[in-house]
Amino acid sequence: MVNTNACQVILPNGFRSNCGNSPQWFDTNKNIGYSNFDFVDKYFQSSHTVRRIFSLARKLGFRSFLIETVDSALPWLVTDDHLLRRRNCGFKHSEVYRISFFTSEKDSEIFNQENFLGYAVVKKEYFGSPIFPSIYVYESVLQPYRQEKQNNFLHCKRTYQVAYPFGTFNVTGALYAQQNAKTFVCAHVALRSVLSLLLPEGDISYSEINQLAGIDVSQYPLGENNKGLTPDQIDKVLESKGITSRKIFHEPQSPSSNPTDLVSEFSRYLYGYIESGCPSLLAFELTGKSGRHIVPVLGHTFNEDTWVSDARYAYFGGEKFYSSEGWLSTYLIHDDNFGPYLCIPRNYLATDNFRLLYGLHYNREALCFDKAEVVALERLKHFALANPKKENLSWFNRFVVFAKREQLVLRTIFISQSRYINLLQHYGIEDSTIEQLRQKLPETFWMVETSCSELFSATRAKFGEILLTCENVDGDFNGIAKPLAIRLPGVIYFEDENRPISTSMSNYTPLYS
Amino acid sequence: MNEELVGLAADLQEVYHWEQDHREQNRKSTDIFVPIEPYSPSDTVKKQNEELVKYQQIAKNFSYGEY
Repeated sequence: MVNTNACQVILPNGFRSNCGNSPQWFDTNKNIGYSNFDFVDKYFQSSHTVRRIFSLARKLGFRSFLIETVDSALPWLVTDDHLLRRRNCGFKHSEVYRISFFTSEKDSEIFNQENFLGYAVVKKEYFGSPIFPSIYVYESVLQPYRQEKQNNFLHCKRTYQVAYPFGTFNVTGALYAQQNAKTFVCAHVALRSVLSLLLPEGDISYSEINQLAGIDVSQYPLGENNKGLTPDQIDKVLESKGITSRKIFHEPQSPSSNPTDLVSEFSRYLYGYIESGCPSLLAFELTGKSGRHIVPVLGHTFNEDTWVSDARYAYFGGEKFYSSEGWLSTYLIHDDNFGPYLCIPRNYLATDNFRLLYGLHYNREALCFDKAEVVALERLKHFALANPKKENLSWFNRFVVFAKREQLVLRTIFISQSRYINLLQHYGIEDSTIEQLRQKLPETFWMVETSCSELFSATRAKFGEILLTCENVDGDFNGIAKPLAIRLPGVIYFEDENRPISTSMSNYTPLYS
Repeated sequence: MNEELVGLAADLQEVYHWEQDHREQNRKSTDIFVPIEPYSPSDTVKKQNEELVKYQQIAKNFSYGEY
């Protein structure tokens, strides 16, 4: 479901629940000579990712920030440093800092929920050689700079509680983390980002990931010669935590007998997972150097003026409907090498470079958007063909025209009954219909919204929706979606009763958000 | 001009003018919606499902590369 897990979380790793030591406040006013570049050069060795976080904080309007020293006795730090010693890489000691960003000025001494922007934990690891420490962002949660009004949709996010001597504050976003390339690599941090969104406890340690994957860092030098986690090991971690995954793979160098090639559709599957709030892992092969990389995908941006949807349909032989994916502009990701909240343009990642896609959720049904969509299209067309023009229902009549012309826009979302009923109550549907829906609909199901070009992209509205379930899907994703109900202007149709009921809702309605 | 869009515009115009005629006659809507046959998956849906199941069985066991 979109916007899952907005519950508050206090985590056992201590970075959020424990106040740091030796607090130092900094004023970011450029008039007094403050510069992000200067600061990161001086204190964090010009780290690219730390600079990215400071840039995001500036875009969010920070006027001050607090740096605290994190207690080295925190259990996670003790475990991580122990792993580094086992790794036999010359590790000596570490220093860890928590940086917290506020919109209030340093001298105002007003630091509260309203002006809290988020935080970052930065670790410095010292080795025998070289002299300078290795610096990386251990974790960070910042508010996303762009929100829905700017056409940015971070569907996968969580609210984190962070404690200070002067108060405990919440920040909602997606956890970002960077690898140390010694005891955890890109797969670990990508797993941590996605699992932090799904797990009830809201986080997972790298030592636990290694344990579940069967990695002994003293025997298997992660980070050397591109050593990382295999898909098998990623699967083990996910299964151990009760997470279901649906995988698409592409290995041109390895023989495989695929009865269906989904490689060219990986973008469609990525969109389908993200739109329903299923965080995803996207992996690709590098070009020009050996190695692979994997990133968590958390949301997308929207371009209401895109040419792609119409062109695909009219010029390039598109499908028999417009997928809402056509209006997607970029995917929102964290890349542990570069920082949080970055955008990959749609279709930038070439199929040749694509290697793996994981859609993730607790509920297997939530990963079956493709099954819902194909049945939805058939059923909507069937209803349109059986019900031509109706008097005084111009929006229903438009739906029929677009359905017959195979030019419907479909947007597929996994939703809860309570959320759907709230929507309909907001639209003003009759109480008697609401009561029937409460009795008939399962706890969660698929909602395929149907609209048309311009109504969808500009007005952000729809004709209505068809509701489906795919509840008996098994481990091989065997199971065909079953329609439950159709709601269109002026009518609601319950499949089990085979009886359309007139409703007073004769106009278009807003898209789900 | 694209044929599909010309056809779409013509259909929308046909509906529009039909609505205007009926509105002018000031008739209340007496149309009822017609139920449709209970859903039965088409051959297209069944075939797609079979292919997806076969793909998933292979994907489940496929492990190549390190990240």
